[in-house]
Amino acid sequence: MINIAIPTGRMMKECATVLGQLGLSCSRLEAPDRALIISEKDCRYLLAKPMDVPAYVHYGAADMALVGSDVLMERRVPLVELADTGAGRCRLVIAAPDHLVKRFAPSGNHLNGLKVATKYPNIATSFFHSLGVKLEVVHMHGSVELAPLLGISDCILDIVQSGETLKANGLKVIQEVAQVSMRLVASRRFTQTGWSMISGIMGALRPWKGRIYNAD
Amino acid sequence: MKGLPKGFKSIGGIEAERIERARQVFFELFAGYGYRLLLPSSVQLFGPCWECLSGEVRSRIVSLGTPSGETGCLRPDLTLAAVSYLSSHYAPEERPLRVCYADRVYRIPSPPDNDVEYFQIGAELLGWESEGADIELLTLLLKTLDALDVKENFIVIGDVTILSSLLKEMPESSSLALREALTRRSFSSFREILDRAPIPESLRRPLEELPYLRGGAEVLERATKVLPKNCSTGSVRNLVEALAVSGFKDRVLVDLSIARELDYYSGPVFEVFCGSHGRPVGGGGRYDGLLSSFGVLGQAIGFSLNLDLLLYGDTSSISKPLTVMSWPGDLRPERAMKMAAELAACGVPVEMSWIDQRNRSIELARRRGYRWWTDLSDGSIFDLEKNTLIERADWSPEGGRT
Repeated sequence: MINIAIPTGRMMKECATVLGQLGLSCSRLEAPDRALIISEKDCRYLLAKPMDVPAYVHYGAADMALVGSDVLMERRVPLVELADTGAGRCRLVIAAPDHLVKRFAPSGNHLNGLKVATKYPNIATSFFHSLGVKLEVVHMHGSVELAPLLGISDCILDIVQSGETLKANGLKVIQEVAQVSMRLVASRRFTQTGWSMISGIMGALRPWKGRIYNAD
Repeated sequence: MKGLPKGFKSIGGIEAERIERARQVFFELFAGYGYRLLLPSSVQLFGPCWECLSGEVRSRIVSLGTPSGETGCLRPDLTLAAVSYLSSHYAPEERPLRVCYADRVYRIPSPPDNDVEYFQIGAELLGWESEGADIELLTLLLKTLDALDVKENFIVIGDVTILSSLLKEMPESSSLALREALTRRSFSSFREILDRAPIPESLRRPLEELPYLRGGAEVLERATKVLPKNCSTGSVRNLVEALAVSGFKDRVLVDLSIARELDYYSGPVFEVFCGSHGRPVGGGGRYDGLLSSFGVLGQAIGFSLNLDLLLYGDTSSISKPLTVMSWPGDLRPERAMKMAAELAACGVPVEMSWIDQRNRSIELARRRGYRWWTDLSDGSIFDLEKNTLIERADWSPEGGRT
């Protein structure tokens, strides 16, 4: 029985699709009730807040997990990243209102003191520090796009898929920070004790990526 | 906790007793094999630590200013402290040197952990040039886990020279990126870099397969078919075979892609797992290069275990204290102390109870979990479990009546 942590919320449906394609039974995930632990024939799913998923694996409660690369970057929990599933593709970007775009023109230290609203304070800090910019992070848990509109921040750092939400709130993408996709991760313990199981699961990924090695 | 900075902790009660018991078990075992105790300073000079530790651990050093104006740091690694001590306190003819330690290590926590300080037990064997040191230390490591009754423990053995040999002829940028990806354990990044890096075809397949060369001893057979001739798996094979002969076959796995966070390792390395922990609870390996940076030539091998993780979830009971709560009654304190000393001289631990009221003293003894309470003024002993009075002459601390 493998314990697999998966994020609740908008990613969950996509996770179910990925799990199905990995050959794991997940019929009960498609119509979940309020239970946070869902047992299927050969695995047990632990439903967790996206930002908590890495901790479940790190502490050994889950053997494996599906988790966004944005969460891995933000949480910086040392896990084994087995494969990029290619699902859930989006971008992590800096976005700002039109009238602030010129402030982001290249060179100069005019960005110092920038206020950035984000759900990703660690990523924002390390990204702007790499540019030599001292910033003020406004840590938010949702509706980040509101912050510049209401004068809480100068810009935002958030994930964007189609860009429609940004557009609807008068924001424009200034810079891409990273490409984001759903990753298959495992604990360091499980990559030692459950390697034959992992090889089987990763073998199922091969048709998608065409380059995932199958140990068998 | 009041008075303590975030990430630091004072440990008391049963948790402290468990740690102390584990330290004692560990020291007794290693003393039996000629290992000497080392008590390193909590503060080290920042410079040497910075030079010897790798990027990830460097960023976690807790630096501080010493009273004499030097830049110091709270000890981030016990091996460094041990090697520094041994290299400057012993003449070459005194080698091999064996030390063991059980002490605190301080590092800025990496998420999601919060503790800056944690307990480590470990041992180092320095300056032995031929066979035996690796086997000795790994055997003692596995015996330690047994002695501490650590559940579901096993070790994973690899060799960092395999990756180094494969990367030797590659452009430096690709080589660094691949090593970094493997140290981060990001197989997907490792694979992506391989796909775009200019790699000689003869190295491509071995590198592609390296992260997957893990499992039981049979992996070594597969490795000989996949890896080039200059990537010897002999050291790992010798260790696996020797440990099998010693009866540890079921607790030894192989992972030829192990890349330890500390990059001073230069040969066979290993990681230790136990219980339900998703991450290793310890590890170690050969670090001849580190030794030479301290001006000492020869081989060195060591390991450390995170005691907090090893003992986490340990519900084994600490045996009930045989302490006797000793109440002076109407005796003068100096007389009561003399009588208590007589009990202590017979090997019976005592705790004085200066409370005026007899009942409150008995109540306190119960709260402490003690079995025995005595009224020093009349010599009677009260069995708190059975609620019976026993005369001193009829009593023994282990079982009551003699």
